[in-house]
Amino acid sequence: MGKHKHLMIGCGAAALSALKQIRKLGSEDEVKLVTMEDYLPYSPASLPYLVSRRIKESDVQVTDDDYFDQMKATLIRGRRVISIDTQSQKLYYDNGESDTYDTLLIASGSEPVMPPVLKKAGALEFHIMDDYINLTKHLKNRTKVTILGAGLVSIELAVALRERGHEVSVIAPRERILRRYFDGEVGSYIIDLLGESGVPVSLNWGEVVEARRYRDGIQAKFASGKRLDTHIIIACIGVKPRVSFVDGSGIMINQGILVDKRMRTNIPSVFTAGDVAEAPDFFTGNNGVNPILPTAVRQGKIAGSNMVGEEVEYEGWLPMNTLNFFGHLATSVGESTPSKGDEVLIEKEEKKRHYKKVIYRDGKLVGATFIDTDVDAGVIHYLIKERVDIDPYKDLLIKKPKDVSLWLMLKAEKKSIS
Amino acid sequence: MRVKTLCDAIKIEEGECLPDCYACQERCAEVKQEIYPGCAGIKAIHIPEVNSHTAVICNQCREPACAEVCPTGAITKSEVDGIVRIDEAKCLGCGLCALVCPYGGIHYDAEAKKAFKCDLCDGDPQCVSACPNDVISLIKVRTVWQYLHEDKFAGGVAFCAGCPLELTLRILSKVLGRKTILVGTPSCSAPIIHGQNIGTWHRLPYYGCLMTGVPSSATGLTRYYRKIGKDVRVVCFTGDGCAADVGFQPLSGAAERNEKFIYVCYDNEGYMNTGIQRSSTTPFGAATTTTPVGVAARGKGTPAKNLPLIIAMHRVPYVATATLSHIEDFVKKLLKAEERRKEGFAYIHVFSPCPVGWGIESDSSIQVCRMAVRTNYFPLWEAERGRFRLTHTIATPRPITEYTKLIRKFRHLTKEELAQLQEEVNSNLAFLRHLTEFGGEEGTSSAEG
Repeated sequence: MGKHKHLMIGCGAAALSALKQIRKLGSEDEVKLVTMEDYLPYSPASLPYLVSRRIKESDVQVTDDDYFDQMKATLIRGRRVISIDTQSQKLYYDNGESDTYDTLLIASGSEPVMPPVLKKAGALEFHIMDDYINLTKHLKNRTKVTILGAGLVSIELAVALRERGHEVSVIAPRERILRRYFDGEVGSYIIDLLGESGVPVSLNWGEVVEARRYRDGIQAKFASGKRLDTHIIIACIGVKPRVSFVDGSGIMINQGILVDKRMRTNIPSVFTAGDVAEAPDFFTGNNGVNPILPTAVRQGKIAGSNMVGEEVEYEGWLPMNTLNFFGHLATSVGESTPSKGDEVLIEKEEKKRHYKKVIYRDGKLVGATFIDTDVDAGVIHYLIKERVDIDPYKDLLIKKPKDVSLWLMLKAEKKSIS
Repeated sequence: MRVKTLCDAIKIEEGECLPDCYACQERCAEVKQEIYPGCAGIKAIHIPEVNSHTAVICNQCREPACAEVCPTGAITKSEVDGIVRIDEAKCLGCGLCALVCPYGGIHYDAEAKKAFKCDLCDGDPQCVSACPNDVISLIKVRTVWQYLHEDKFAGGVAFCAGCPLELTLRILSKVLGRKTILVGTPSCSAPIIHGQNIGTWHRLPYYGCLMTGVPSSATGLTRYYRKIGKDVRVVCFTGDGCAADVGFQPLSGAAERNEKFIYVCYDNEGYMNTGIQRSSTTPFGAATTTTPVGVAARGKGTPAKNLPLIIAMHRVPYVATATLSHIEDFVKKLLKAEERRKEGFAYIHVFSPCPVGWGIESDSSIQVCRMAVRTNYFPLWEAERGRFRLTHTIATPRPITEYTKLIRKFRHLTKEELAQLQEEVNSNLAFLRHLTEFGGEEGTSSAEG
């Protein structure tokens, strides 16, 4: 059998992780990565830290300059994929060229949602490196920035801009912020803490109905009737899987590209991973999109194994994230709101500082939320993933989450090795 | 058991921490205070409610989740010493590493906006000496890491499922390195050392000869290379049938002449390749095709010949026993053999269970190796320049039945016969212990029972 050719669309965390795994398994197959961007691999997760000037632009590159040579892989930059022909296993690029593959990994990530009315009025996006560069140009002589949207990127960016010295406010279309990770009560804690540090968050604005650019800034009108007048609007309303080029290829798409536990699409030899994938989740096995970095890394690894013929199954994704802002830390792992029959324990302070919440189902942990609590989130993640029996220690765990979670982890590890 | 650590690592004895002692954590914070106040790579855990007092520290994982997820590549595992480190300049302080580490090995401080983890103090961890109760120790496995880094074994395996020979050869080739010539013979190891199957090979030169000619051929090769002034190590790799029976005379001769090469015998206790016949190293009671179990016969009637002891009695520079459940021990012995080879003959006897011939499950060969050590059926020892030493003593040995129950070639043994086998194990060990008294010493004691 000759060498296989693996083609990867994208060079973010998922694709890099797949490449690394393919080489780790000893495969000497040809690997080629194609990215629409002009840069060597970086993670969009580091962009807010560039805004806040915590790190320098030269520090965001994930890999060494000669990484792809070391890995005996090829990276093609600045090229978009237009369409895929899964019959003849061919890709078509925006420069008119085409390419063939034996195995294809679609790891094209996500793209921001931008309402046309805002785009026309010159609102900015904040998703990739070019957006950051564009933003810094706009920031030069303008101080007042409004961020539209209440997801993790919005909040991280707002914090970063504040640290950079700008006047920032966040406008949430609906009644909650960070809905994916935190419930309404925790959200209100976070809003208070943000407000104290100079980032006001305002809720229930509704959709933008009108927007207009004028010399010094932008004016916008919302469905709620509220009006906004600011220098810069950055729209961080949400992201969706980047799948436009997949249309017509026969690859099944719902929100993202549908995959099984081995990260295979409905078309043999086409795999997908990361923000673009709609993969089984941990609790139900139902498919869903979970656009976070740890999920991309894990799915890339699983895809890489299966692309070279290993049979490895994905255990499913869990929602989780961590938000650090002005010295505070909010962390969420697993489910943030209980289902019927779940047991919920909460410990909080009057002054809205520390907050702890754990959700149990059948004696096992299914979710936990912490604000400014000394705990290792990864260990909590472990307890959920390994379905460790917490039953006798439910109260103890919320009382001393750090020590008790570590102890439960050590206990479970011992059980698994004996 | 998952291998999580392939570099020096901190070992924390379970359940021996003093209540409310934070000495390790405090020392770490003191040493690393410039990173951020209060940071500590090691965390003391005290939960009086469940009477648990211990400490947790980074495992220096083989595939560190923290490094895989780091958005800027600030966390890396060193290819030199295996330590997982954070490059402060590249660290965003995003905290994703602490979100994915399952073992509480990396800590994130939101106020300092920094992540922190144990870097083993670059090889001299201060928590070890800070511990008032000697609970923390540093396990050195650096040599293993360095040698295992390069794989000299080509892909593909042509052995029977579960055969430990692949791992034996893999370790041997990794540890001894490129300048090695293997000498062997038609045997179980042939599918790989001859390179009979496409793509399955050890990437080393190989000289194949008859069972009666292995040590003499190795003698010729060794002397030739010495004559032309090249330092090439010659390693014989044969089974026990060749070493103990068919090729015993030239082996004994080469040992007596103190030829400067290494002889590795993999002991699967019989002629497994030709149809599971008995050899002189087949143990008492074992069923083989030539010592069957029936109305009159009860398996082999005599005990195994103790080949490594016989070779040791040739007073050669190095003799050792090894097995695959104790790889670090095996690697150290290969390194010693390589060192002593410069003085003369070095011999390693590797216990090598045969899933087909012995009747063991193909996924349990390593378990059988481990149980052979834990029952003292196969004690791990070495004799370096005539000084005997047990390299791994067992505090509370398991009864021999724990071992024989894993293996079908022993399943017919009666209580009395098992007692006889146990007696042999005991007297073998006692004999070895006597030998260690002549200027030898015992190795690190183990809590394995």
